[in-house]
Amino acid sequence: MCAKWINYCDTLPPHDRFLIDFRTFPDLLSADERGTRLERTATQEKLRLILDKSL
Amino acid sequence: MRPTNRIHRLLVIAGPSCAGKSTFLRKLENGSYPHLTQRLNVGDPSQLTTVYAKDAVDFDYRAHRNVLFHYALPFLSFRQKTLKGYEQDRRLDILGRADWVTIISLFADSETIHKRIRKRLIKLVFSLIRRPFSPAPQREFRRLLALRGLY
Repeated sequence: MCAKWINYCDTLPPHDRFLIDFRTFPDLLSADERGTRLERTATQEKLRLILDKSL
Repeated sequence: MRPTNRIHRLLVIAGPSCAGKSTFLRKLENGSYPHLTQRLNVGDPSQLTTVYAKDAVDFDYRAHRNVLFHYALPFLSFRQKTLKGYEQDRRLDILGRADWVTIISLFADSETIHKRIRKRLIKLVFSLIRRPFSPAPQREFRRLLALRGLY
């Protein structure tokens, strides 16, 4: 799924593209998920956007 | 000035079901991510119009200059494996209407996605017990079952 979507995006005219990494974006976690995952992400940047080109 | 079907700025929020697209959209609209809206250069987030993929083909884009587009990527569905590629998806024609496109893809690990789909299915079962003839939960229930390859 991921690869197909990225391949499709590669065919589009110039655009901005970002990937939001779920594990480094605690806002997208539900309360029960947050309890366990925040420990791992606490030291990481809260909002981390990675340019697709870096994939 | 003549109304135009062109979109000035289009933000595509893409990701599998239960990845957090709706949560992300809601928070973007209510200004929870000032750092992000500044970086995306979208201006006042409350002025963004949200368009869901199911409505994209027939949506009247006149007077909507900045649009957030909610697009669910196919995920683990036996049915959807038979779908043609994204190039064949007419809902994505919206990308051709925009002067500038920003694509934000949300990805989560499959274990989390499966857990969330299961939780959403359980909620929907209770919702259907309360309102058995309500079409929206029925549609969502079938869609989620399809995602798990059960429908």
